[in-house]
Amino acid sequence: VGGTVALEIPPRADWFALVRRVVGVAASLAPTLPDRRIDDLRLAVSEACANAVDGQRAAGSTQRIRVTISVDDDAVVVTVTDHGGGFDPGDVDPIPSVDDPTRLRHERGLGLPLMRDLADRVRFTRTDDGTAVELVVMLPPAT
Amino acid sequence: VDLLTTHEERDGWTVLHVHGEVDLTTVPRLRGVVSELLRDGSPNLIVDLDDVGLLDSAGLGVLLGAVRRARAAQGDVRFVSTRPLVQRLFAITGLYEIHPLAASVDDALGRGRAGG
Repeated sequence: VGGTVALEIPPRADWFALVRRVVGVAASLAPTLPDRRIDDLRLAVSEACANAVDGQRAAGSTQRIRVTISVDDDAVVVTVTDHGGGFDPGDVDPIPSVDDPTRLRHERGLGLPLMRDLADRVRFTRTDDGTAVELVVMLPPAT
Repeated sequence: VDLLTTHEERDGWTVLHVHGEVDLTTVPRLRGVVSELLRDGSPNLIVDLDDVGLLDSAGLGVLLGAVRRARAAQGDVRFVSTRPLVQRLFAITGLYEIHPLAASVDDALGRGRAGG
């Protein structure tokens, strides 16, 4: 039997530590989720919140960002919903490959690839006035 | 404490120890410390990330920037961490290919004496 926690934060980075803490505590309620996966999820959520804040700054919105954390029998799902006007993740340039010398100049734009790698599944949904990013970490089966 | 840094000089290298969580709120402080050390000290920098619980993409950007600046000054940057999350981040970003993580500061220094 699962549960859901919802947070609404101002679009400010100084609230991210609180979000990560709640995500960490909620994810630890899933008995089979290893600590390292919880760390992955905390970072992925932080990146999603950073994107949300960036988007809202660009759109001039001071509305709250909503973060919901659901712990179910088979997965932990975190959804970050912003009012940043929406963006197309396909429009974001891929980071250069490892052997590309320009890689070292690529100091921004690592957020999306990180989210995609850290979570088992990432889904972007366009809302009326922004984007909902759903991050899913699957629970290993109990042994 | 959200982010704490200390540094020391060892064998011609500046060793920067980072403790805490590196995210958008703390990354300006990390960027400032790294810039200051590379400007005022040796262009050879060891960044000890063994006590870093979280390192976001902005923090990785600072580390990439440090590598670029140190190389421009004919120096180098080495990284230390045994944390799975940091190891994973280095793998994802490709930093690992250029800068394998040392298990300890001594390790990082030892590789230096061996000439690479």
